[in-house]
Amino acid sequence: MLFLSHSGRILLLIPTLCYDKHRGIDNQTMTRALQSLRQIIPPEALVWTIGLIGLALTDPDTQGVLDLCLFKQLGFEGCPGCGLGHSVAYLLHGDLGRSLETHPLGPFAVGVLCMRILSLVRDTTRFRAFQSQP
Amino acid sequence: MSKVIKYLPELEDEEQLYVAQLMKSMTEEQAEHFARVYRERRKDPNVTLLAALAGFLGLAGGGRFYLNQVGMGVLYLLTGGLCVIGTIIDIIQHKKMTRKYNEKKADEASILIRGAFPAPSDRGLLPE
Repeated sequence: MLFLSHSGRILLLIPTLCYDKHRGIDNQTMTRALQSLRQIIPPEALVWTIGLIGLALTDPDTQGVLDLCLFKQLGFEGCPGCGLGHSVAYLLHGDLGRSLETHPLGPFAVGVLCMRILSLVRDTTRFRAFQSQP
Repeated sequence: MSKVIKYLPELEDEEQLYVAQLMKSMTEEQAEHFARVYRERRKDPNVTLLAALAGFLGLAGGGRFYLNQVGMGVLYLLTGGLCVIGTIIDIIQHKKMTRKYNEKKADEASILIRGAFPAPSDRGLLPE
């Protein structure tokens, strides 16, 4: 939950920066600031980053409170992706052996997700002929 | 806008606007070549959607492969689309993912065309 409160504080910072003593909060400036924030941080990169940070903060030894796997909830038995979250969490806590034991693709997933986040961030700074909608 | 309708009539919405901006400063010759190159390189958002929908049948990550994200494609394929959650995310954002890809390709194509077929106004600036 630590990272949630932190990003919440960053979001609160935007209206504070747009606050004008005489006119109150300037709506136009705030919309522009939110737009540029969405351009700097692509939502997909945010999803993966929050996921990785969340897994780094949780304790892999505990049983998950909520089961996100939709295959299981639809009544299928065995899903090729189950255990990946625990595997990534073990790896981020430095336990490579147990990580590979839980799901052999854990380290691969961390690598691919980091590459994807990097390429998404790099795309926001690449040369653009024109600025598109966020 | 007239050039994009003339040379790339199949484009719609944001993609059309973006390409129209790119083509505005092109000559007719450049626009013709650009349209041919871009049409070959762009990806269709409907195909991305269909490929992502195949995730529900067990073949996840099709959309990622289609947009040249091979690493993500392999990860999705081998984990059932991150337990279907990734598949759903891809279905929701298939338009946006394809648009980002196409904008990149359009920028590359416009640089390529401007280099290969310089406009008459630029020609004097280039060394013989």
